[in-house]
Amino acid sequence: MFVVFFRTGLLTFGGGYSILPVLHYELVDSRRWLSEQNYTDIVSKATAIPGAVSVNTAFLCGRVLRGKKGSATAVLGMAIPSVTTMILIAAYLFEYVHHPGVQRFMKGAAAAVAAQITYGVWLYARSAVRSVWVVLATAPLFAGAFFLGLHPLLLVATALVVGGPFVYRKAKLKAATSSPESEYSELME
Amino acid sequence: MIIPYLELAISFLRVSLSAYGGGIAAISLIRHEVVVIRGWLSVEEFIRVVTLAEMTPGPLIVNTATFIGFRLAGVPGSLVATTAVLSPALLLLTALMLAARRLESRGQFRVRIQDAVKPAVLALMLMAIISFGRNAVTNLSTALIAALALAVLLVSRRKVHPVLVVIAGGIAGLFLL
Repeated sequence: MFVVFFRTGLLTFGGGYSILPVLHYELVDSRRWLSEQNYTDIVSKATAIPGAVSVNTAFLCGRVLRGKKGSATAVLGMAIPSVTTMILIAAYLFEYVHHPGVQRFMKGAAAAVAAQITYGVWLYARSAVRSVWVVLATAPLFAGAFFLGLHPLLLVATALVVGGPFVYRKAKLKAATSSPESEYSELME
Repeated sequence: MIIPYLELAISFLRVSLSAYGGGIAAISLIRHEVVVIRGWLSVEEFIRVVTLAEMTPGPLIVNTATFIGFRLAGVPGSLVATTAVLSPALLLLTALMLAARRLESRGQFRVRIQDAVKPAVLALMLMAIISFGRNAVTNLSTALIAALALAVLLVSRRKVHPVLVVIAGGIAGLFLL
């Protein structure tokens, strides 16, 4: 597990959202440690909390997979490669940053990272958008962020306050109508 | 001797608690803290640090914190800044998980915070595409690279490691840009 997160931390550029599709590939597609639904839930929580999305995601994945030790392993695996390379660069390689070849490579990579982020959002949206309601709720929040520059915290709070009662009632209804068996499996998730 | 560490810790704790929506959003907060409030770096130096943080592997926020911490107080400084920038979110997540478990064990229903925040998360993600894309896709060649990369990722049906696509984009950049 440490190796998986270490590799992801070492090989992902651009940070934050660009790490999501890579972890999706490693944990859901390639190793099947997590289900699509598991992963979507984790990403929702990791993004709704302040801090580095990638580290939050790693923390929650580790937690789901192996409890407290798992989350520590995942966070360290994710952070160690970037901390080490950053210290090495700050100490020895800062001069090379503006080398034209390095610059060209980075610009091309950045364009691909933009695609990677878009792909990650697509993966999330495909699994998270289960009903028209999600789209209808996203539209005003996005408009608020884009046109009015609303603070992200405000978006999350609005979603919790407005959406919370609906989700709550739905979950309650589901628990009341579902058979004991499915209730049990839901708890076991 | 302790004071620079303390100042670093306070600054990055503050950044962490208001940093939302991944690295790009955190950058303006860090700039405010490091350039405007503390005056640790000049604007030009800060831009160089961010470029560097973008091109080195790992989370942007970790890279920036490590670099600034190292510049100010060596390896211990970098560890202090990184720990300060990461721990509040992780503590908050732990607390929320414990709270959710407690509520769940009390009732029959599951508390599904993750479902309620979905629309906000989607909105934040769309904003991230826009703000990152605007900086990365600046001309026809970069647009071409981005479009090709996206096509490969979507068509490959999860068989191609996403990191390979980024490396390919970098190599294309060497020849095209």
